[in-house]
Amino acid sequence: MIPEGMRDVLPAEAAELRAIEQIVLSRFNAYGYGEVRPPALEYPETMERAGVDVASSGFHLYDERGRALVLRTDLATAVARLAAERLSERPLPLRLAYEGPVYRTEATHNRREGEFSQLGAELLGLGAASADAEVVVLLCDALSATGLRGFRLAIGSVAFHRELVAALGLAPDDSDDVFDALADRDYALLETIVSRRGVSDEGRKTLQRALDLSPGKGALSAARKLSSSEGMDEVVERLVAVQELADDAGYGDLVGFDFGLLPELDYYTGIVFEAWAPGVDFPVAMGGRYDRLLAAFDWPIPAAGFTIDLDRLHQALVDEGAGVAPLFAPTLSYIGGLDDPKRVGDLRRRGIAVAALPGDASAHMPRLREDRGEFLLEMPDATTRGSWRDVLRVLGDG
Amino acid sequence: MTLRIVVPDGALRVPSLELFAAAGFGDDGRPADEVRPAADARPAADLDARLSVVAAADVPAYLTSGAADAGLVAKDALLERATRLCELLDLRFGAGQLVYAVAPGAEVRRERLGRLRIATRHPALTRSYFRARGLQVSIVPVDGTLDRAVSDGLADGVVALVETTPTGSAPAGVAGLTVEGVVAETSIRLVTGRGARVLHGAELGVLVAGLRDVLAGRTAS
Repeated sequence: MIPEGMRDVLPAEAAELRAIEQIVLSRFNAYGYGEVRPPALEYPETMERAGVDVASSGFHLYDERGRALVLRTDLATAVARLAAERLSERPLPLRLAYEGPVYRTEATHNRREGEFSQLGAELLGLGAASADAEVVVLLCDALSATGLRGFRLAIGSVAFHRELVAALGLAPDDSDDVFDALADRDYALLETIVSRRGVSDEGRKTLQRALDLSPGKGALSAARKLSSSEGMDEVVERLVAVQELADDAGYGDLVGFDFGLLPELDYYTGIVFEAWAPGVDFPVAMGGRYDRLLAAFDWPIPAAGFTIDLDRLHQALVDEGAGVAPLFAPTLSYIGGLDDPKRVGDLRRRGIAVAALPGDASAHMPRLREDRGEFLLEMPDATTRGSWRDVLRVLGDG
Repeated sequence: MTLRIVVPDGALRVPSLELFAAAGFGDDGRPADEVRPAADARPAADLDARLSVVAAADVPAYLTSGAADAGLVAKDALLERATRLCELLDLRFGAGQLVYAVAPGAEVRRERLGRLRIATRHPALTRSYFRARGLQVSIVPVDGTLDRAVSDGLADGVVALVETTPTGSAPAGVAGLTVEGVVAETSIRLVTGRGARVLHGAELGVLVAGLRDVLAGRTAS
């Protein structure tokens, strides 16, 4: 029995998850991102600083003096805390990567898992569009490297809507409603807000068109036409720059723009993006710019990054029919190998994974056993009978 | 890639299929759950899409999971489930109101017992409606006829879906009850999942444009 929302991972799945982690972390490394490992337990205040509602979403426990602790609900916040406390003397920019499980209660989180693994990268100390582009490109690179083909990255900007709402002169309460309406494409709600607040006809048209901005290649030029203030111009030009840099890096075809993209967490300040693959119910990855996150830990520097949902990525690969090349060779079962440590050691030194078994055991292929003074090596596609030297030759060729 | 569209079975099936037919989806002899755009119809004919009919209550699950790319869902169902689906278009049929109505004598009961029993098929919306008004009620989730729940003594009032009727006439579904307020307005919406929006944005744009033309034609005529 295990608690609700938890699950066990068995060897076949674990081998694939490990291989995916390895591929992604090696791409992070190729861009100069160094891995950090924050602890599993943090103080609730740490997570709250990033605006995470830990009271309802966290698993809570107490230390021996009764101080409240929480299992980390996300790693980006823990890494921001770590960077501000431990790395603030280092020259900028800082590039950090992380990997590991996070824990959330089901009540507030509309996904089934209470524990899931995140892989992520953080670029700290750079605020330019070129830094936005680097994290976008790194995400495309890492996902492509795993073999995922059908994914697309939707890019939006929370700044566009902030500028739009500011240009219309709406009250803060109304602007929250406008954000909801834009996120859900709720025309009826938008009409209600507009009529209640006496927004000008021109403003009404602008909002309507913002809602109509369909995602895809045309969204950027449509947004440029819609722009009615310097602030909106700047936001659009910045996204154009990101698009051009992504094109130059060879990932232009994977990205599209979607101004309806508004993440639930309100710590984002600029670009936001989500990677989706066919047949999954949550984004495979999400990220963006959150220039106020480090300031919450008294280190006011800009930051951008993303988080990959390892289980969703794996699911997308399986749905796509993509194989995941295992890190480790399939294991050879050597029946009688437990009593023959010398030959077992010989095989392992040659890089062959061997599960040593008692002489009377049975095992799936590939398997090896001694049989009337000879060795019988049974592989799925061929059977070899012969001397130890023959066995080594066949395995060596494989 | 083919755009997979799910249409609700039951009362909404016919008006839904009529709308898609007007937008250029013909059945040309194929079974109704395999309807594709007719070859010569406009404007949706440019779209590689397939309609299939599924149980109305299952449409949100098809969209959330990514098993379908677009579907038709009533607004009240979207609100009730609080799914993070994206509305693309108000299709303006199946319009109605979710109203709060009470039986005669309910006020006395509220005075003496403190709270009313409200029968509904929309427990989540009902809960938030009364919470927002600072009223305490006990919610009785039912699957059957709501006004019967009141006449049989199961509840003192209902939060029930009624068809939009001209003001003044008593809406069917809450016969014999007094309508106290409107919990939500509803109509059928074209809805997509968050993933389909990203992966099929262009195709969904074509679909929306096609359906919007049909709706504009209906309003004009």
